[in-house]
Amino acid sequence: MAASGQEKFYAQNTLVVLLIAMENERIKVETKNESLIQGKLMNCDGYGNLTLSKATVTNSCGKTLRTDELHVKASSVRYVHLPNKVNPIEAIQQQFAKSKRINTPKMPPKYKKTVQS
Amino acid sequence: MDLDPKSAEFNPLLALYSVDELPNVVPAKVYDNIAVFEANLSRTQKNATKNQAGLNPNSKKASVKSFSQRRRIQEEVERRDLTKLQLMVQQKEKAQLEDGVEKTEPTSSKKVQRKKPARNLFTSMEKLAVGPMSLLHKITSQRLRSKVYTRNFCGLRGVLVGFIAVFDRFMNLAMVDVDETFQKAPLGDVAEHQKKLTVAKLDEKLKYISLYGVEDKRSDPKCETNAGVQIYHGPQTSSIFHGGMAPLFHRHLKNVYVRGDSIVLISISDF
Repeated sequence: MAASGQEKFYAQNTLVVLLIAMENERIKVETKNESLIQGKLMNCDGYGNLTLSKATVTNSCGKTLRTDELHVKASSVRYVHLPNKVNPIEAIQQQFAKSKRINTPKMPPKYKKTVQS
Repeated sequence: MDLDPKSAEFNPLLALYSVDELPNVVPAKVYDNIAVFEANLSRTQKNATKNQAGLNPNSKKASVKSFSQRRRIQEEVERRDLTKLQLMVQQKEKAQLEDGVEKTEPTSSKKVQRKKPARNLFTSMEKLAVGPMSLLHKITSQRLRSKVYTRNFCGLRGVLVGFIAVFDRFMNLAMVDVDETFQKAPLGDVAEHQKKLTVAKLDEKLKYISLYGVEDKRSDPKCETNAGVQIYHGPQTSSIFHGGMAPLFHRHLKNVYVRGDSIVLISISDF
Protein backbone atom coordinates (compact mmCIF):
# COMPACT_ATOMS: atom_id res chain seq x y z
CA MET A 1 0.00 0.00 0.00
CA ALA A 2 2.80 2.45 0.88
CA ALA A 3 4.23 4.14 -2.17
CA SER A 4 7.79 4.80 -1.05
CA GLY A 5 10.34 3.21 1.23
CA GLN A 6 10.22 6.23 3.47
CA GLU A 7 6.48 5.85 3.92
CA LYS A 8 6.89 2.18 4.82
CA PHE A 9 9.55 3.15 7.34
CA TYR A 10 7.32 5.79 8.91
CA ALA A 11 4.44 3.31 9.05
CA GLN A 12 6.54 1.05 11.30
CA ASN A 13 8.75 3.43 13.26
CA THR A 14 6.61 6.44 14.16
CA LEU A 15 3.40 6.92 16.09
CA VAL A 16 1.49 6.74 12.82
CA VAL A 17 1.21 3.04 13.71
CA LEU A 18 -1.29 4.03 16.36
CA LEU A 19 -3.42 5.83 13.78
CA ILE A 20 -3.21 2.89 11.40
CA ALA A 21 -4.34 0.66 14.25
CA MET A 22 -7.37 2.92 14.63
CA GLU A 23 -8.78 2.07 11.21
CA ASN A 24 -12.55 1.53 11.21
CA GLU A 25 -12.93 3.26 14.57
CA ARG A 26 -14.82 6.44 15.31
CA ILE A 27 -12.36 9.20 16.14
CA LYS A 28 -12.35 12.94 16.69
CA VAL A 29 -9.66 15.01 15.03
CA GLU A 30 -8.86 18.47 16.31
CA THR A 31 -7.12 20.51 13.66
CA LYS A 32 -4.68 23.36 13.93
CA ASN A 33 -7.30 25.77 12.64
CA GLU A 34 -9.55 25.10 15.64
CA SER A 35 -12.06 22.87 13.90
CA LEU A 36 -13.26 19.53 15.16
CA ILE A 37 -13.89 16.61 12.82
CA GLN A 38 -15.80 13.55 13.97
CA GLY A 39 -15.91 10.51 11.75
CA LYS A 40 -14.96 6.91 11.08
CA LEU A 41 -11.32 6.49 10.10
CA MET A 42 -11.29 4.80 6.70
CA ASN A 43 -7.60 4.85 6.05
CA CYS A 44 -4.35 6.28 7.36
CA ASP A 45 -1.15 6.40 5.33
CA GLY A 46 2.46 6.32 6.42
CA TYR A 47 2.66 10.09 6.82
CA GLY A 48 -0.46 10.39 9.00
CA ASN A 49 -2.84 11.73 6.36
CA LEU A 50 -6.33 10.59 7.32
CA THR A 51 -9.36 9.64 5.28
CA LEU A 52 -12.63 9.70 7.20
CA SER A 53 -16.05 8.49 6.16
CA LYS A 54 -19.38 10.02 7.28
CA ALA A 55 -17.58 13.00 8.77
CA THR A 56 -18.94 16.06 10.57
CA VAL A 57 -16.71 19.13 10.57
CA THR A 58 -17.43 21.78 13.23
CA ASN A 59 -15.42 24.93 12.70
CA SER A 60 -14.48 27.53 15.31
CA CYS A 61 -17.57 29.59 14.51
CA GLY A 62 -19.80 26.61 15.31
CA LYS A 63 -20.85 25.87 11.75
CA THR A 64 -21.12 22.19 10.85
CA LEU A 65 -20.54 20.43 7.56
CA ARG A 66 -21.39 16.79 6.85
CA THR A 67 -19.66 14.78 4.13
CA ASP A 68 -19.47 11.15 3.10
CA GLU A 69 -15.74 11.20 2.62
CA LEU A 70 -13.15 13.59 3.99
CA HIS A 71 -9.40 13.75 3.65
CA VAL A 72 -7.37 15.43 6.38
CA LYS A 73 -3.79 16.39 5.78
CA ALA A 74 -1.39 15.13 8.44
CA SER A 75 0.21 18.54 9.03
CA SER A 76 -3.14 20.14 9.90
CA VAL A 77 -3.85 17.68 12.73
CA ARG A 78 -3.31 18.86 16.28
CA TYR A 79 -4.95 16.12 18.35
CA VAL A 80 -6.62 12.84 17.53
CA HIS A 81 -9.02 11.71 20.23
CA LEU A 82 -8.93 7.93 20.28
CA PRO A 83 -11.84 5.81 21.51
CA ASN A 84 -11.87 5.41 25.30
CA LYS A 85 -11.53 1.62 25.33
CA VAL A 86 -8.25 1.66 23.38
CA ASN A 87 -4.94 0.99 25.13
CA PRO A 88 -2.22 2.62 22.98
CA ILE A 89 0.56 0.13 23.63
CA GLU A 90 -1.63 -2.93 23.09
CA ALA A 91 -3.10 -1.44 19.94
CA ILE A 92 0.39 -0.82 18.52
CA GLN A 93 1.51 -4.38 19.31
CA GLN A 94 -1.58 -5.81 17.65
CA GLN A 95 -0.89 -3.67 14.61
CA PHE A 96 2.70 -4.97 14.37
CA ALA A 97 1.47 -8.55 14.54
CA LYS A 98 -1.08 -7.83 11.81
CA SER A 99 1.38 -6.12 9.50
CA LYS A 100 3.95 -8.91 9.98
CA ARG A 101 1.36 -11.42 8.77
CA ILE A 102 0.53 -9.26 5.77
CA ASN A 103 4.06 -8.26 4.81
CA THR A 104 5.88 -11.61 4.90
CA PRO A 105 6.42 -12.32 1.18
CA LYS A 106 5.08 -15.54 -0.27
CA MET A 107 7.42 -17.10 -2.81
CA PRO A 108 5.51 -18.24 -5.90
CA PRO A 109 5.91 -22.04 -6.43
CA LYS A 110 7.70 -21.56 -9.77
CA TYR A 111 10.63 -19.72 -8.17
CA LYS A 112 10.68 -21.91 -5.08
CA LYS A 113 11.97 -24.84 -7.14
CA THR A 114 14.96 -22.95 -8.57
CA VAL A 115 15.97 -21.67 -5.13
CA GLN A 116 16.06 -25.19 -3.70
CA SER A 117 18.08 -26.61 -6.61
CA MET B 1 67.25 -39.50 16.88
CA ASP B 2 64.87 -41.96 15.36
CA LEU B 3 64.10 -43.54 18.67
CA ASP B 4 63.60 -40.35 20.66
CA PRO B 5 59.83 -39.81 21.04
CA LYS B 6 60.32 -36.08 21.54
CA SER B 7 62.13 -35.55 18.26
CA ALA B 8 60.55 -34.77 14.90
CA GLU B 9 62.24 -37.78 13.26
CA PHE B 10 60.66 -40.26 15.67
CA ASN B 11 59.84 -43.57 13.95
CA PRO B 12 57.24 -45.40 16.07
CA LEU B 13 57.53 -48.68 14.13
CA LEU B 14 61.27 -48.78 14.69
CA ALA B 15 60.79 -48.03 18.38
CA LEU B 16 58.29 -50.84 18.76
CA TYR B 17 60.58 -53.44 17.17
CA SER B 18 63.84 -52.34 18.82
CA VAL B 19 63.78 -53.99 22.24
CA ASP B 20 67.28 -52.85 23.12
CA GLU B 21 68.58 -49.27 23.14
CA LEU B 22 65.50 -47.50 24.36
CA PRO B 23 66.21 -43.87 25.25
CA ASN B 24 65.42 -42.48 28.63
CA VAL B 25 61.89 -41.39 28.58
CA VAL B 26 60.90 -38.64 30.90
CA PRO B 27 57.88 -39.83 32.89
CA ALA B 28 54.96 -38.14 31.18
CA LYS B 29 52.38 -36.22 33.14
CA VAL B 30 48.89 -37.67 33.13
CA TYR B 31 46.17 -35.22 32.13
CA ASP B 32 42.39 -35.54 32.45
CA ASN B 33 41.61 -34.55 28.89
CA ILE B 34 43.01 -33.03 25.73
CA ALA B 35 42.07 -29.49 26.77
CA VAL B 36 44.26 -29.58 29.85
CA PHE B 37 47.05 -31.15 27.80
CA GLU B 38 46.83 -28.32 25.28
CA ALA B 39 47.02 -25.75 28.04
CA ASN B 40 50.11 -27.31 29.49
CA LEU B 41 51.61 -27.74 26.03
CA SER B 42 51.37 -24.01 25.38
CA ARG B 43 53.02 -23.32 28.71
CA THR B 44 55.92 -25.69 27.99
CA GLN B 45 56.33 -24.22 24.53
CA LYS B 46 56.46 -20.76 26.05
CA ASN B 47 59.17 -21.88 28.48
CA ALA B 48 61.09 -23.53 25.63
CA THR B 49 61.06 -20.36 23.54
CA LYS B 50 62.12 -18.30 26.55
CA ASN B 51 65.19 -20.47 27.09
CA GLN B 52 66.18 -20.37 23.45
CA ALA B 53 68.70 -17.67 22.63
CA GLY B 54 67.84 -15.14 19.98
CA LEU B 55 64.11 -15.80 20.05
CA ASN B 56 61.80 -13.14 21.38
CA PRO B 57 59.49 -14.78 23.97
CA ASN B 58 56.90 -12.12 23.29
CA SER B 59 56.89 -12.68 19.55
CA LYS B 60 53.49 -12.38 17.96
CA LYS B 61 53.51 -15.83 16.49
CA ALA B 62 53.98 -17.53 19.86
CA SER B 63 51.35 -15.39 21.60
CA VAL B 64 48.78 -15.86 18.85
CA LYS B 65 49.15 -19.60 19.03
CA SER B 66 48.64 -19.68 22.77
CA PHE B 67 45.72 -17.25 22.60
CA SER B 68 43.86 -19.33 20.03
CA GLN B 69 44.55 -22.45 22.04
CA ARG B 70 43.31 -20.70 25.17
CA ARG B 71 40.20 -19.66 23.29
CA ARG B 72 39.56 -23.17 22.14
CA ILE B 73 39.95 -24.44 25.69
CA GLN B 74 37.60 -21.75 26.92
CA GLU B 75 34.99 -22.67 24.36
CA GLU B 76 35.24 -26.33 25.28
CA VAL B 77 34.84 -25.50 28.94
CA GLU B 78 31.80 -23.42 28.14
CA ARG B 79 30.30 -26.11 26.02
CA ARG B 80 30.72 -28.68 28.70
CA ASP B 81 29.38 -26.45 31.41
CA LEU B 82 25.77 -27.53 31.70
CA THR B 83 24.61 -24.74 33.96
CA LYS B 84 25.80 -22.12 31.54
CA LEU B 85 23.94 -23.87 28.75
CA GLN B 86 20.76 -23.80 30.77
CA LEU B 87 21.23 -20.10 31.39
CA MET B 88 21.69 -19.46 27.68
CA VAL B 89 18.47 -21.34 26.91
CA GLN B 90 16.60 -19.28 29.50
CA GLN B 91 17.97 -16.05 28.04
CA LYS B 92 16.89 -17.10 24.56
CA GLU B 93 13.38 -17.80 25.80
CA LYS B 94 13.26 -14.44 27.53
CA ALA B 95 14.37 -12.64 24.37
CA GLN B 96 11.62 -14.34 22.37
CA LEU B 97 8.97 -13.14 24.80
CA GLU B 98 10.12 -9.52 24.74
CA ASP B 99 8.01 -6.84 23.04
CA GLY B 100 10.55 -4.85 21.09
CA VAL B 101 12.82 -7.29 19.29
CA GLU B 102 10.87 -9.69 17.06
CA LYS B 103 13.02 -12.61 15.97
CA THR B 104 12.34 -14.95 13.09
CA GLU B 105 10.77 -18.40 13.59
CA PRO B 106 12.42 -20.18 16.52
CA THR B 107 13.02 -23.40 14.58
CA SER B 108 16.72 -23.92 15.31
CA SER B 109 16.93 -26.96 13.05
CA LYS B 110 18.07 -24.66 10.19
CA LYS B 111 21.59 -23.30 10.03
CA VAL B 112 22.32 -20.53 12.54
CA GLN B 113 21.96 -17.17 10.75
CA ARG B 114 22.63 -13.77 12.22
CA LYS B 115 19.11 -12.57 12.97
CA LYS B 116 18.55 -8.87 12.41
CA PRO B 117 16.34 -7.46 15.19
CA ALA B 118 13.18 -6.01 13.66
CA ARG B 119 13.07 -2.22 13.75
CA ASN B 120 9.78 -0.87 15.00
CA LEU B 121 8.44 1.94 17.12
CA PHE B 122 9.54 0.40 20.43
CA THR B 123 13.13 -0.18 19.28
CA SER B 124 13.33 3.40 18.03
CA MET B 125 12.07 4.52 21.45
CA GLU B 126 14.99 2.65 23.04
CA LYS B 127 17.43 4.25 20.60
CA LEU B 128 16.21 7.69 21.66
CA ALA B 129 16.90 6.90 25.32
CA VAL B 130 20.32 8.57 25.04
CA GLY B 131 20.37 12.12 23.87
CA PRO B 132 17.89 14.99 23.99
CA MET B 133 14.83 12.69 24.05
CA SER B 134 16.10 10.87 27.12
CA LEU B 135 13.63 12.80 29.29
CA LEU B 136 10.75 11.47 27.22
CA HIS B 137 12.12 7.96 27.58
CA LYS B 138 12.37 8.47 31.34
CA ILE B 139 8.78 9.71 31.49
CA THR B 140 7.40 6.76 29.53
CA SER B 141 9.45 4.08 31.26
CA GLN B 142 8.80 5.39 34.78
CA ARG B 143 5.17 6.37 34.08
CA LEU B 144 5.66 9.91 35.37
CA ARG B 145 2.98 12.55 35.12
CA SER B 146 4.18 15.21 32.71
CA LYS B 147 3.19 18.63 31.47
CA VAL B 148 3.16 19.14 27.72
CA TYR B 149 2.87 22.76 26.62
CA THR B 150 1.32 23.32 23.21
CA ARG B 151 1.22 26.21 20.80
CA ASN B 152 -1.16 27.80 18.35
CA PHE B 153 -0.19 30.14 15.55
CA CYS B 154 0.59 32.98 17.95
CA GLY B 155 2.12 32.06 21.26
CA LEU B 156 1.23 29.46 23.84
CA ARG B 157 -2.05 27.56 23.58
CA GLY B 158 -2.11 25.57 26.76
CA VAL B 159 -0.84 22.61 28.71
CA LEU B 160 -1.70 18.91 28.74
CA VAL B 161 -1.07 17.29 32.11
CA GLY B 162 -1.08 13.53 31.88
CA PHE B 163 0.79 10.31 31.28
CA ILE B 164 2.73 9.73 28.08
CA ALA B 165 2.35 6.13 26.90
CA VAL B 166 4.38 6.22 23.69
CA PHE B 167 6.50 8.80 21.93
CA ASP B 168 8.47 8.92 18.70
CA ARG B 169 11.27 10.82 17.01
CA PHE B 170 9.00 13.68 15.93
CA MET B 171 7.76 14.09 19.50
CA ASN B 172 4.31 12.78 18.53
CA LEU B 173 2.82 11.52 21.78
CA ALA B 174 0.13 9.08 22.78
CA MET B 175 -1.13 10.40 26.10
CA VAL B 176 -3.50 8.82 28.59
CA ASP B 177 -5.59 10.40 31.36
CA VAL B 178 -4.99 14.00 30.32
CA ASP B 179 -6.20 17.27 31.80
CA GLU B 180 -5.94 20.01 29.23
CA THR B 181 -5.91 23.69 30.19
CA PHE B 182 -5.94 25.94 27.16
CA GLN B 183 -7.07 29.23 25.71
CA LYS B 184 -9.04 29.66 22.52
CA ALA B 185 -7.08 30.99 19.59
CA PRO B 186 -7.54 34.73 19.16
CA LEU B 187 -9.28 35.93 16.02
CA GLY B 188 -7.95 38.88 14.08
CA ASP B 189 -6.64 42.01 15.82
CA VAL B 190 -7.31 40.68 19.29
CA ALA B 191 -4.02 38.87 19.17
CA GLU B 192 -2.09 42.13 19.28
CA HIS B 193 -4.07 43.63 22.16
CA GLN B 194 -4.62 40.79 24.61
CA LYS B 195 -2.12 39.84 27.28
CA LYS B 196 0.02 36.93 26.18
CA LEU B 197 -0.15 33.66 28.02
CA THR B 198 3.18 32.46 29.42
CA VAL B 199 4.41 29.27 31.02
CA ALA B 200 4.62 30.95 34.41
CA LYS B 201 1.02 32.18 34.26
CA LEU B 202 -0.13 28.75 33.13
CA ASP B 203 1.66 27.08 36.03
CA GLU B 204 -0.05 29.45 38.43
CA LYS B 205 -3.44 28.51 36.98
CA LEU B 206 -2.55 24.82 37.25
CA LYS B 207 -1.77 25.25 40.92
CA TYR B 208 -5.16 26.97 41.37
CA ILE B 209 -6.88 24.07 39.62
CA SER B 210 -5.08 21.47 41.70
CA LEU B 211 -6.17 23.26 44.88
CA TYR B 212 -9.74 24.25 44.01
CA GLY B 213 -10.71 22.00 41.12
CA VAL B 214 -12.83 23.05 38.19
CA GLU B 215 -16.57 23.71 38.44
CA ASP B 216 -18.47 21.71 35.89
CA LYS B 217 -21.10 24.24 34.79
CA ARG B 218 -22.23 22.26 31.78
CA SER B 219 -25.67 20.68 32.14
CA ASP B 220 -24.82 17.64 30.06
CA PRO B 221 -21.63 15.96 31.40
CA LYS B 222 -21.33 13.66 28.37
CA CYS B 223 -20.74 16.49 25.93
CA GLU B 224 -19.88 15.18 22.48
CA THR B 225 -17.63 17.97 21.38
CA ASN B 226 -15.93 18.46 24.78
CA ALA B 227 -15.30 22.15 24.29
CA GLY B 228 -14.03 22.66 27.79
CA VAL B 229 -15.09 24.33 31.01
CA GLN B 230 -14.08 27.89 31.59
CA ILE B 231 -11.93 28.56 34.63
CA TYR B 232 -12.68 31.54 36.82
CA HIS B 233 -9.65 32.72 38.70
CA GLY B 234 -9.70 36.25 40.02
CA PRO B 235 -11.61 39.17 38.59
CA GLN B 236 -11.32 39.99 34.95
CA THR B 237 -9.52 43.32 35.12
CA SER B 238 -10.22 44.36 31.56
CA SER B 239 -11.57 42.89 28.39
CA ILE B 240 -9.15 41.15 26.14
CA PHE B 241 -9.36 43.89 23.61
CA HIS B 242 -8.00 46.38 26.11
CA GLY B 243 -5.03 44.41 27.38
CA GLY B 244 -6.63 41.72 29.50
CA MET B 245 -5.93 38.03 29.37
CA ALA B 246 -7.99 35.54 27.39
CA PRO B 247 -10.12 33.15 29.45
CA LEU B 248 -8.76 29.65 30.04
CA PHE B 249 -10.69 26.44 29.47
CA HIS B 250 -10.21 23.07 31.05
CA ARG B 251 -11.20 19.57 30.00
CA HIS B 252 -10.35 15.93 30.63
CA LEU B 253 -9.31 13.59 27.83
CA LYS B 254 -8.88 9.84 28.24
CA ASN B 255 -6.82 8.99 25.13
CA VAL B 256 -5.09 11.50 22.87
CA TYR B 257 -2.62 11.37 20.06
CA VAL B 258 -0.71 14.67 20.07
CA ARG B 259 1.17 15.66 16.96
CA GLY B 260 4.75 16.71 17.63
CA ASP B 261 4.76 19.99 15.80
CA SER B 262 2.27 21.54 18.25
CA ILE B 263 4.49 20.82 21.23
CA VAL B 264 6.70 23.52 22.70
CA LEU B 265 7.91 22.14 26.00
CA ILE B 266 7.69 18.94 28.05
CA SER B 267 8.37 18.85 31.76
CA ILE B 268 7.73 16.48 34.62
CA SER B 269 4.77 17.40 36.79
CA ASP B 270 5.13 17.96 40.53
CA PHE B 271 1.63 16.77 41.47
